[in-house]
Amino acid sequence: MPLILLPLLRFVFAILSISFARARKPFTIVSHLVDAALLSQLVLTLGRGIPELITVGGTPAGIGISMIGDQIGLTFAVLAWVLSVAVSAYTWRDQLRPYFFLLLNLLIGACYALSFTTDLFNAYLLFELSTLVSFLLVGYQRRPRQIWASLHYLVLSSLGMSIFLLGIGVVYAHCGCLDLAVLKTMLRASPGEPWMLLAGSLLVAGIAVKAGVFIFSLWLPSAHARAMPAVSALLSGLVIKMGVVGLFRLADVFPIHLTLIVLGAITGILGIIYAFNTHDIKKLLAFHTLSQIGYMLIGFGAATEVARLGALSYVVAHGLFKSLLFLTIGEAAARAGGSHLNTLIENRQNIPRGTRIALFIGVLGIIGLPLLAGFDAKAILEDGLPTMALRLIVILVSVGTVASFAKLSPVLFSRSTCRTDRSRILAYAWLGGGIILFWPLSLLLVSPAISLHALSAPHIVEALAVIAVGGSLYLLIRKKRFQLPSEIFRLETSPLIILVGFFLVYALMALGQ
Amino acid sequence: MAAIVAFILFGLGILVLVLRRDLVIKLLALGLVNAASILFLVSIGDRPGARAPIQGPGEMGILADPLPQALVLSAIVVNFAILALALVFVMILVERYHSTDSTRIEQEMAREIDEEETPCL
Amino acid sequence: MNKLRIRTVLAVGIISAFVVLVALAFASDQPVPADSQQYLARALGETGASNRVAGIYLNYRLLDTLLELLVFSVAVLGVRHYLQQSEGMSLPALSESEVLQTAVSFLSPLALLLCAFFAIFGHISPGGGFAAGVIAASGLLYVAIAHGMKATETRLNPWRLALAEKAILLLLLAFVLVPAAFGKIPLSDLLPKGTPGQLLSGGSILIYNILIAMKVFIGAWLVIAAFAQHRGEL
Repeated sequence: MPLILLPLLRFVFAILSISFARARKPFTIVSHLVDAALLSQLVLTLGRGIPELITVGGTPAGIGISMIGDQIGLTFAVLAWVLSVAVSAYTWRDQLRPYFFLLLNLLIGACYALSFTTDLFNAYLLFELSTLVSFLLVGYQRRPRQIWASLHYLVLSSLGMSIFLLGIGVVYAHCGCLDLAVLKTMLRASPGEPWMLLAGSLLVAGIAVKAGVFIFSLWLPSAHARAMPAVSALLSGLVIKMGVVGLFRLADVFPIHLTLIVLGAITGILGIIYAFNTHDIKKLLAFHTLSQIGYMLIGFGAATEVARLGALSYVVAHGLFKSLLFLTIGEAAARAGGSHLNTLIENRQNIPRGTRIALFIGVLGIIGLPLLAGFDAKAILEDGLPTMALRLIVILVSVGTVASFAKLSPVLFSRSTCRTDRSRILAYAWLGGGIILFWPLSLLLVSPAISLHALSAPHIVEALAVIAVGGSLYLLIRKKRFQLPSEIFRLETSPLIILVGFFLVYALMALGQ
Repeated sequence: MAAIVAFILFGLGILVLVLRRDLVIKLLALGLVNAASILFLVSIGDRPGARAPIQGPGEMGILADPLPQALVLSAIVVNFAILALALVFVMILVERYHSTDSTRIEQEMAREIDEEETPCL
Repeated sequence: MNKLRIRTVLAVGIISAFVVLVALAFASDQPVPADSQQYLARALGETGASNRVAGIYLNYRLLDTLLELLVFSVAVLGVRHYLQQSEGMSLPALSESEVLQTAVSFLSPLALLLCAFFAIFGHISPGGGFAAGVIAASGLLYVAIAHGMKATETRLNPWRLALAEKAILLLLLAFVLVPAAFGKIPLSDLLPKGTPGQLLSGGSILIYNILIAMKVFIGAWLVIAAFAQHRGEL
C-alpha cells in the first residue's frame, strides 16, 4: 500500500499547497516526514526478501496496473525523496508563487509513481505529466530563452512519447496486455519473435528522449542550463532518471543490453567532448548530465549483478552531486552576475563561502575523488564490468570529466567576502553530507562485501591517476578551441536525429538477439 | 490498413515539423503526429464486423476491443494539454518578438544581450 | 539555398525510411487477437458497466484517468497563470444581437441537459464525464457570446470556480483513498456492481463520471474565460 500512497498523498499535498498557501511550510515538513515513513516501510519489506507488489484498485494482476517496490524502484524513489527535501530547503526563503510548489509536488509525485510502475501506458501518462510540469517549471520566469528552451523540450518530448505510444500499440496488438511482468513471461515462453524488435526499439527510442541519451535528448543542454537553479537541480538530478528507470525496466523484458552499452558509450563520450568546449558553466553541467547517464546505461547493459548495483549506486550518486552542483552554481551565478566562466572568475570573491565549499564538494564528487560518492559508485560499477573495453570507456569518460571540470579551479580556490543564507546551507549540507557519507551508507544498504571491495587499492590508485591525467589533459589543450556542430541542437534537425537514433536502436537490437 | 495510414500521417507530421519555419504550423504538425499515434492505437482494437463495445448482458454481436479506446481517451486529453500550453508559450514569444518565424526568433535571441548575465535567484 | 535543399532531401529520406521500416515490420507479422479478448470477456462481469470502455478506464485503469485529470488541471492552471501575467489586448465585444440571444436561450439549456445525460448515463451508453464536461463548457460559451463576458462573470465568479475546481479534485483524491481506511488498496471499487444496464450499476463509475464532468466543465470554462479576459471581451 505505501507504493500507491506515496504518489497519491504527494498529489493531495500539491493541491493543498496551492489552496492553503500560508500553511505551506509546515505542510512541507509533514509531507516529507510522511514520505520518509512510507519509504522506510518499503525498504524494510524489501529487506525481508520479497518486494511489495500491488495491483492498483485490487484488480487482478495483468489486467490492472501493477506497482512493485523492488530494488530498482526504491533506489529511484529514495533519490526522489532526498532531492525533494534538498530543493524544499533551497527554496525555503524564496519568493515563489504557490503555483511553483504545486508543480514541484506534482513532479515529485509523478517520480514516485514512475519508480514503481510496471505498466507501459501508466508510464506513458506519468512521463507526459512530468514533461508538462517540467516544461512549466523551466518557463516559470517567462524569459524568452527559457520559453524557447522549454518549447523545444516539449516538442521533442511529445514526439518521443508518440513513438513510445506506437510501441505500446505494437505490444498490445501482439500480447493483449500492457504489464511488463506479464510481457516478460510471454517473451520468455517464445523468444525471438519478429514484432519484439519493432516494439522494443520503438519503446526504447521513445524513452531515450526523456532519459538523457545524447542523440535523443538534444533538448537537454538548453533546457537544463536556462532554468532556475532549483528547477535545473531537480531536472538533472531526478527527472532525467525517470527515463533511466524506464530503460532499466525495459532491460528486464527486451534484449536491449547491447543497445544500452552502445548508447551509453555514445552519450558518455559525446557529452564530455561538448562539455569540454563549453564555457557557460550551467550548460557544462547539462552536458555532463548527458555524459554521466552513459555510466548508468553501460552498467545496466553489462547485465551482471554487480554492474547493475553499480549503475543504481551511480544513479543516486549522480543525483546527489549534480543537484548540489546546479544549486551552488545557481547561487554563485546570481551573486557573481552571470554563469559564464569569465564572469564567475572575475567576481569570484562575491561567491559566499558556504556555497563555494559546497561547490567544491560537488566537484570532488563528480571527478571521483576516493571515498566520495562518485568514486564509490564508479568502483562498484567497474567491478561489475565483464570486459576490458567497457572499463576503458568508463575510464575515458572519467578522464574527460576531470579535464572539463578543471576549468573551474580558479573559482574554487578563492576568498569569499560574504556568507550563505541559512536555509541554503541546510540544502547544501544535506546533499554534501550524502556525498561524503556515501560509502558508509552503501555499506549498510548495499552488500558490505561489494562496498568493501570497492575501497581497495587498485580502485583508489586508478581514481587518483584519472584525476592526474585529466588535469594534465586540461592544461595541455585548454588553449585550443574546437568547432563542434551546434546545428543538431536546433528544433529543425533534432527530430531527424531522433529518427536516426531509432534506426540505430533497431539495428543494435537486431544484432543483440 | 488504418495502421499504415497512421504511420504515413506520423511521418508527414514530422516532415512538416522539421521543414516549416512557422511556430504555429510546427505545433499543428505536432498535433498531427500525436493524432496519428492515437489512430494507430485505435486501429489495433478493430475486429472485422465489430460494433462499439457497449452492450447489455443479453445481447449478441462482435464488439471492438475496448482497451485501446480507453487508452486513447487519456492520450487525447494529454495531447490537448500539450498543445494548449505550447500555444500559450508561442503566444508569449510572439508578444515579445512580433513574429512566428522560428529562424527569426532564434536570430533575435542571439542578438540580444545575454540574459544569463542577470541574476536569476 | 543549397543548404535548404540538402536539409529537405535529408528530412524526406530519413522520415520515409522510418515510415517504411515501421510499416513493413508491423504488417509483416500478423497480430494475434486471441489474448486481447480478456478485457472484453471480463469487463462486464467484473465492473458491472455495459459500456465496456467506461468499465476499463473508470475501474481497471482508474489511476490512468486520475493522472489524466491531473494533466488537464495542470494545463488549465498553466494557461491561466501565463495569461494573467501577459498584457492583454482590448478588442471590442461582439455587438448585441437578438438572434444570438434567442438562439442561445434554447441551445445552452440543451447543452447542459446533454452534459447531465452523458455524465449520469456514461456507464450504460456512449459519453462519459469528459465529453459531458466539454459540452457543458461550450453551452456556457454560447451564453457568454450572446450576453457578453462581463455579464457572465458577474454571475459566475472565476475565483470561486477555481476554488471549486481544486475542491472537486481533492474530493476525487479523497474518494479514491477511502478504501485505504478499510484496509483495501486505494482506487478500489467498494460500491456494489448491480445489474448491468440499470442506472445504479457499475459501482463507483457513476460517481466518477459526475465528478469528472464537473471538473472538466469548470476547467474548460476557466481556460475559455482566461483567453476571453486576455482578449478583452468575447
